[in-house]
Amino acid sequence: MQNFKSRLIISAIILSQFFLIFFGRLFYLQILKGEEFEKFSAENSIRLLKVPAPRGKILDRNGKEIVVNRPSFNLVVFPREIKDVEAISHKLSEILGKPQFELEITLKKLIKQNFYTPTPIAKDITRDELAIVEINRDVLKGVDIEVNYVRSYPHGNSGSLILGYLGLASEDEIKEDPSIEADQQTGKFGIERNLEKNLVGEKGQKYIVVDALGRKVETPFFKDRLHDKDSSPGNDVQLTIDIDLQDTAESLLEDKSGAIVAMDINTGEILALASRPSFDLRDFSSSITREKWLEITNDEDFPFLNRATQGTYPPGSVFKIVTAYAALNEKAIDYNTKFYCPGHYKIGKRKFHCWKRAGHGWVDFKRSLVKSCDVYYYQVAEKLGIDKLSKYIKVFGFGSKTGFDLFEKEGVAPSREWKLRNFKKPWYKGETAITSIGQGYLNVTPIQVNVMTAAVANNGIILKPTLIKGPVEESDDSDKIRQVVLERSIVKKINDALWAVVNERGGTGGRAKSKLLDISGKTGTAQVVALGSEKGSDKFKDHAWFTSFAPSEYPEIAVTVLVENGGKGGSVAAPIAKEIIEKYHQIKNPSDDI
Amino acid sequence: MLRIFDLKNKNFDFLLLSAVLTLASLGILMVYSTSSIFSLENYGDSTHFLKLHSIYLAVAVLALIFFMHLDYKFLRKLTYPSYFFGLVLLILVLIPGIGKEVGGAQRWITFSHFTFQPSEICKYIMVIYLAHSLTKKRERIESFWVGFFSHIFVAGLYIFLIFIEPDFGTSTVLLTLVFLMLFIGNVRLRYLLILGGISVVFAIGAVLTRGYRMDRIVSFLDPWKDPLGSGYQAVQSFVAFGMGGLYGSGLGGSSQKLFFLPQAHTDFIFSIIGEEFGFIGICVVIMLFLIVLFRSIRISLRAPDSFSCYLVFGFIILITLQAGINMGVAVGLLPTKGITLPFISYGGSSLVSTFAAMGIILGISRYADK
Repeated sequence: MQNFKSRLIISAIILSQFFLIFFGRLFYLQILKGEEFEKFSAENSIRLLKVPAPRGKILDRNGKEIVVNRPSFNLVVFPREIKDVEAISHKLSEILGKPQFELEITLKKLIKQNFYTPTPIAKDITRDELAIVEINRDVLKGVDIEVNYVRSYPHGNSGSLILGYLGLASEDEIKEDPSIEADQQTGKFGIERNLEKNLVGEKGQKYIVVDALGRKVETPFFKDRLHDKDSSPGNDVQLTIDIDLQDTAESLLEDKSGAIVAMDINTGEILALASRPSFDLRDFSSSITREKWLEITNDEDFPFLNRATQGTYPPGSVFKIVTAYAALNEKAIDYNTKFYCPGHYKIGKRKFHCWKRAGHGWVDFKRSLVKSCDVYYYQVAEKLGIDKLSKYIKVFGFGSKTGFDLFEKEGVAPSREWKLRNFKKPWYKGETAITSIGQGYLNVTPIQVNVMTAAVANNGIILKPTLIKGPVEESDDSDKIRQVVLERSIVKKINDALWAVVNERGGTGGRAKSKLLDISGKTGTAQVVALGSEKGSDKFKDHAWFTSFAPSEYPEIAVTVLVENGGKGGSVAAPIAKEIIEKYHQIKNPSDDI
Repeated sequence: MLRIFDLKNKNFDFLLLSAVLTLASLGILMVYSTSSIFSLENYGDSTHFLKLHSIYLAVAVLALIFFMHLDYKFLRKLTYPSYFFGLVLLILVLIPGIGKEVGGAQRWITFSHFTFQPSEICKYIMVIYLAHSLTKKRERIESFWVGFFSHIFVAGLYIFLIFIEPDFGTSTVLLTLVFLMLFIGNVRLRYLLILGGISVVFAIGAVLTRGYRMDRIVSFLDPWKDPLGSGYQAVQSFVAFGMGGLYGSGLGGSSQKLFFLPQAHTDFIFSIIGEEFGFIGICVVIMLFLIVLFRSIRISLRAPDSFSCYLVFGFIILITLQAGINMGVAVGLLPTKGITLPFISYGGSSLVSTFAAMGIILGISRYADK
């Protein structure tokens, strides 16, 4: 029995010890630290602020800034702290110029549905608005200013179709990656979208305690206990673009519809890639209005279409480079083969015209390119046949994607099987003739033509164009080369002819002749198929092409220009290419005078 | 001869009864103070919970008077019937349709307008069973099978059924009760240490396999990690105590009660007492609980026989454990657990069963050595 009593007393003493501990704990909470804890009282509030992380910058190949961030100020509501909805919405309506009742409805909705979540009610407010908010802190209890970052574009609209823009994260994106928040901006287009994971920074968080007037209360005791987290900025992306060259390209297309591609012929790095019409990046920098969005998406000129990679066009005479190579390589002709051009040629019962109705007379291989004689190629095509020709169409990369970093189209590389598959009809001989001069079913993108041109300039290597210099995934150089296909001696002969197109008297590309350096190139004037009555309207004017490389002897850059419905390639596209190449030369040799 | 009531002996422990009634009166004030705004907003009547609590308290006082005059020896006769009654309730509550599921746990039985938690009653039934059995097996208490295993098996059945509701808190309370009762019942220490070891392993397992339990532990260890989320109640509780300071803000002066809704009048009533009556007031409350504990232990030590001794000890352990856990949570020394503060918190079944238990203790006090 004694044992039992002692056990009972031990139990009671142990239990009562807990209450002694509570005395101690309460002394600490109420007497020692009472004042500190009071700072979190009903009058004061803890706020969890997000510390925004700036997105990575987008730089050009020389490290010049193309897309950067600027601070923007958002008005944020802390619904939990709102007491007087009417007074606050009255003041806000004065500041923001919105109707008071609208603000009242918004605030009431926030208090009901988002009680604990700080929510922005006005984004990117002006400095003036900011100042008025600061003055009226006493009325605007529960409203605060949040600093955020928005995109800013030192080079204006240059490269808008490559760079892309930001928009509010979609539901699908949030579902896929729960770390994305509902009011977060994500890349919606171009580089901003494709390199989102790289560009996006990691948000931080910070707790602050504010008093009834929204003033920060210092809480040294809690500084270490509240877990603040710094934000970390996103990584920069470096493009292969030379922004100065890009600016030039954009301004040359200013009032036109078309595309320019400039590429380093040794590495496949895109130096400039312009497409017009395009959209204004600044419309997207904070948040786009609904009206603006509708205006852009309903624009009949398709400003979102990157004509350099997604626009497909008949190549016209620039395609004669492919036919010429095919014929020489298949030995259908040699360098000395001559054909007579009376201005037309008959295949079967049909008569096919040369662009020069008067005819070119006797034409050899070199003159066929210099004068761009169609009749010469009708006869080459007849000897070559469609099966061999279509093989070379594919060899030069037409009908398939170039492997470029942004969205692109494949175009159409016609062949006997292709026609049977798509039209259930056999191939006609006349179709070989029009294919040989870049018309008919052929459909190509400017970047494909540029890759073809680079291959002619670099002795036969079909490159994979790239736009991103860094960060680069580990890969060896062979990745950039899709295939090595062309016969050097033949390429050399074509090169001689392309030099003559620009530099010999009477060449179709004479307007690309430069005093600074030798340029080689090929013109193209692609017919747009039009039905009788529509003929003559601007919409059905020919597309002007010019594809070129320079310097002719030791080429470095390939430039392709397309002007939609521009007319003759020699007179419209060639001068543009010349200016791009001269700009390139100037950038490389700043001391040279024109 | 079987006697149910003993109305003659009125020599009960007056100090104990006074302490209990003082706490219950404070409870009425605090339930009104903490629930009036919530009542007004949700029921259009600021006295909604006050009225209900007063009714429960009236029933509880009747229960106290009833059990105070009951002859405790009669309770011993009810040991096995009540054990099986409790077992049936614990099984019924697990059957969908009979048991009501609230927030993922099936703990309630609805009986016309009346909802109650079987585990609330079963805790007290467990005390009666252990008091009876420890007395009966006193001679062979040191044997493993008779003194230790048989009790663990019978009590374990209850604990297991409550654990799978799931109600981790109540099963922990019950396990601690069994441990302490076997301890004073002279069960060999080494068996109890084994039981303690197994329980700790089991508890760790239970925490690790359920994410929400782990979250509670983490936010308990560091409420500042997420002061607006999982650590919210703990932080707000600290603020309430801090606001109270030494003297408190006065009855009804709490501004923190708004932050605990809807638990200000149940789980966090202790924090609001701290805010409204300050450190001095809270000390008085703790002192009252200590008086209840010590007077009851005194009764237990002077009890006329083993059964009544164990019975008083078991009841007071239950009540003290609940008070301790509730306070421990409020001052941030224990992880959040939905356990009310005996005598004070709003809640019918806990108030009535606590008062019934106090009635039995007071009844036994009549026979104690003076």
